Amino acid sequence: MQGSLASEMLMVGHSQAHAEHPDHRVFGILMFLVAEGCLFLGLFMAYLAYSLTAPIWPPEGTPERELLLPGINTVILLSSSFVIHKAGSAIKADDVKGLRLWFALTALMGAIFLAGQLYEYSNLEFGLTTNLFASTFYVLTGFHGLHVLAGLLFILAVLWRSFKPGHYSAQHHFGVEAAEIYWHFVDGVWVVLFILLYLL
Amino acid sequence: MTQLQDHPRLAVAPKVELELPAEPWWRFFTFSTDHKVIGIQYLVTTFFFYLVGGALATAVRAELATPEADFLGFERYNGAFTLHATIMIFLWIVPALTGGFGNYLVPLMIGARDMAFPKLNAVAFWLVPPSGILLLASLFIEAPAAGWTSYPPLSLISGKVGEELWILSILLAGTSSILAAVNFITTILKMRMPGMKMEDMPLFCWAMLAASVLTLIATPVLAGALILLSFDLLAGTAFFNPSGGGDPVVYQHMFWFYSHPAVYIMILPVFGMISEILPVHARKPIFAYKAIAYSSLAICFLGLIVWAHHMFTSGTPDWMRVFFMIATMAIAVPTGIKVFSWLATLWGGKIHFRSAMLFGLGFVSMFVIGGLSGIILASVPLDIHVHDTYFVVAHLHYVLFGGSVFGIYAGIYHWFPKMTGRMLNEFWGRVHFVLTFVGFNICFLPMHKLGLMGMPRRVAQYDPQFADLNWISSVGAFMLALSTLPFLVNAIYSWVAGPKAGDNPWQALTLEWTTSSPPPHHNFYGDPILLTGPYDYGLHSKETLDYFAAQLQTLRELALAEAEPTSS
Amino acid sequence: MSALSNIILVALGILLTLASLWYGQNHHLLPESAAESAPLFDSLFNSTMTIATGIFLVVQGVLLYCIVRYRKRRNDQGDGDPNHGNVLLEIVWTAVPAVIILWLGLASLDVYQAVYGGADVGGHIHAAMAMESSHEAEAGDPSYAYTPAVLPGKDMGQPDLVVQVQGMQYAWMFTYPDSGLVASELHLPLNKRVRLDMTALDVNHAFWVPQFRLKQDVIPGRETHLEFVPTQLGQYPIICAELCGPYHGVMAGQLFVDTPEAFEQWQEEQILAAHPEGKAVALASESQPSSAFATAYQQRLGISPSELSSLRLHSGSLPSAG
Repeated sequence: MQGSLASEMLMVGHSQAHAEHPDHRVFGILMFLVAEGCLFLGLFMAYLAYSLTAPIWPPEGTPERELLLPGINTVILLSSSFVIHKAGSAIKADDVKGLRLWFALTALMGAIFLAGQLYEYSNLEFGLTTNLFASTFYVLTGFHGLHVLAGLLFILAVLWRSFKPGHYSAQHHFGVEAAEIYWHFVDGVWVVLFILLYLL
Repeated sequence: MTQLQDHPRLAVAPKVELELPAEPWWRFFTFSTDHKVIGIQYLVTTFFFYLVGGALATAVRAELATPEADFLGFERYNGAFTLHATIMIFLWIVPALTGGFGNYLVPLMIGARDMAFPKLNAVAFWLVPPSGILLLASLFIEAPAAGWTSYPPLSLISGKVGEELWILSILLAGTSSILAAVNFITTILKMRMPGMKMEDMPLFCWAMLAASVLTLIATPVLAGALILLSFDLLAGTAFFNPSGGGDPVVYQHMFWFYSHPAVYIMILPVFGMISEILPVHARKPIFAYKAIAYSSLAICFLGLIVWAHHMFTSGTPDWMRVFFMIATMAIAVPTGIKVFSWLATLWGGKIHFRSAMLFGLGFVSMFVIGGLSGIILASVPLDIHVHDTYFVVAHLHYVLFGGSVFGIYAGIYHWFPKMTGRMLNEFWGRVHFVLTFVGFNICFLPMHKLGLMGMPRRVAQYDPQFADLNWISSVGAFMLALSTLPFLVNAIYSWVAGPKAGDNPWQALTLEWTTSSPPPHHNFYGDPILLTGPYDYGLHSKETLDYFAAQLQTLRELALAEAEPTSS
Repeated sequence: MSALSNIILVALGILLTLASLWYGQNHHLLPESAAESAPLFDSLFNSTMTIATGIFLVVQGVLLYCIVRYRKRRNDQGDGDPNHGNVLLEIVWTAVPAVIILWLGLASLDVYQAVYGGADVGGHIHAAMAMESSHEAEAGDPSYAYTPAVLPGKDMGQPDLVVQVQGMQYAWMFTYPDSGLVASELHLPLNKRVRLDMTALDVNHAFWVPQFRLKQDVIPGRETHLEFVPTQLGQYPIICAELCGPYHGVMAGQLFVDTPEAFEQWQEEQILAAHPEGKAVALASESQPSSAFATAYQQRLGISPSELSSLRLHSGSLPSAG
């Protein structure tokens, strides 16, 4: 019995030591995003394979796509990257109010982007199974949209937590950092997507 | 066993009373975040799936014992080999090696208390049972029947439910291995004990790093392919369906972009384990540490750019065939470096023929055959003849059974004392080895000839001219099935009632052997210390080693004494 | 190293070389060869087998030697020789495999170019397919037909005979565009260059004749090609080598290499036996390896024999583009 008590004490001792270990969560997030990036890369490569081997791409009869709305959407999403960066800078200066302001603004911009995306879907003249281009279009944008949604929820969760006093500080703000990195990633993916689907 | 207990060095090893109790049995059925518990959870769970996959393999070979499709019948036969391959790859070899051995050994070997993200680790494990349940459920609902490669358009018309269950199961297993890979990379790069440089790491850690990088980069692409396949299957899109303008070959590229590296995910950790096991039982330092470590990275890199060698007959353009042939052949160089280094490790050693070593030597011998047939498959003109024949079946089993599974058995025999604190029975271990080795070769050697002579793979019925060799092969398969029995009985009996192992029954030098068997929660008594390099066999006098052992014992006493007063 | 051990080493080396050379020529692992390019394959295979046998013997020999020579002796509790590296040795065993691989790669390339002549094996999606992407043809309906458009290949001279090959679950169908003949078995004249233009109607198949050492996937929505010269009279199996469904194993056709006269005669007979519309259908049921399975399959799919033959007719009326 004494043995097991001693073991518990050792565990306590060690878990305290554990807390002092450097925090690798940011590195972990980066690794996870490498995997996410490869998922998108795989889908992009499939898209390129389709578009490069087809004699006419998009296939004949694909309606022209409106560039104005997605263009505006792109500008909104890209600028939100700068906004969320401001939030990161704010918390590093221990400015929780700034953090809340910029995170709220980013969330708003993300929501506008998603709304714009849904509006575009509802006005498109082709459906998921119209042709190969349409299918890739919906799957790629939809898959990215899901990531925006996840990022948006992540940002809202951080925003919610920031109202707990002392939850985030200049030293401890992993949630903020992770949300910011993730948001930049989602932005970067969109840039490639936009070029592939709308410009090329 | 007698020689072990008589060994003079054991006399100075810490006594049993100086151990903290192991995890209680019920911990293994909970959401534990301890990497050792998770490692054993993986090993036991995946071994169960190995038995299921083995039963399916036995059924497949029973069907093939005669030329007529008279045992399973055509449709059930396709379901059987599809599930056999899927289970063996996604629910046995990959999770047993990375999840099982990787989890158990990496933190211990680098002197860490646990993995970098223990909760994530537990989540990764608990994704495996649902994945397995989905796959096993498909056996009773509708078995996927398009092969583990699941090429469209066949996979789109061979049963929606079974196919979708298969996809979901692999997506879960894939997510699990991606999460595990994030954990391994972070742990190996960031959690090494103070003072341990990359080049002080045991080679198993290098191998796990390389395998994890492959998992991280390649698995998501398979997930992408399966998501697109799901859309084709359920939503009526035509990504891979030529009747809607899609292209089935795009699927093949995405599939093999994962599934070729998957071979290295399944063999690199075994390379690592063999690099641990051979030096210990040959009592010699590993030969050419750096070459082995860097060849793992070279294999990791090359492994990512060879996938289309599975598609030499898919109408791939010329330049692709040539490029992928050259890249594939290039892999023979780092692989050769490893094999030759292992042989040089044995040269001049004092080889103890314990079961772990028997399987280790068996691995080297069998893997070389798989490597040589691999070179034949790499050559485009030769591959064109043997592609999708029994030659490929022979090759892949020499790599994945003679390679990976022999390696896993070697690992189990080697680390069982550490994991359970008890020794496995040597006699039954040898029986197990002989049955496995002989059965394996009887089963798979004839397949080389079958393929070259003209027997395609994945057929329930075949030309009667192949009947004799197939019958021999089936006999070997039944022998293999039988060979698991002595192991199972041995493992279960020894876990409960085997002789106590002590800290270091093999006098090994890596860090996991400096702590008790099984190690306490958080692995070490006090902080781990590096007294020797991982492979310093023959470099220290007996006096030095005794001194090290005494040091370890003192440190352990200190750590325990430190803990005691606070408890009273 | 003593003189004796040197002699033993040299003797072993010679023995090993001889054994490898012998096995490389006498492995009996291949069926007879019956096409012009098959001997090229065989000689490459034999050289590879020679090298592989040599490496196999060296590695297994060293392994066995270590097991015997360096086994732990009774009462020896010591460690082995703490040698842990030798740069020269490491360079040698990196360089030697690299050279072997390089040689094998170049030899393979040579044979590959001689067999395929850099010919375009296909791998292009039919232009017509991609344009017709309205996705109206239903998946799983075996009657949708593609309009193959042959792509220009940098081939080795004009073939003497072009045959269109269609793979479907679980049969092969051969169309001779010159005569419009449609047959379920493939007859080819001896020593003539043949090109097969192949496509699949439903799922992936692969066309394999082991005696020709040639194989090519047959893919729906694409046209793939094989070119060869049969050099041995006889009957050979055409094996489907890509999983195509439950009855994949019974999807086998027959290939007959005839003398040019016999080939002409066969063609005439088939045309005489043709339907009034002038479309020839040769339903050589005895060449089906197991008609019971074909029947079982037809019942399962609900396809009647008449539908099957009309399908063949339909495919036979495709415009010949060879």
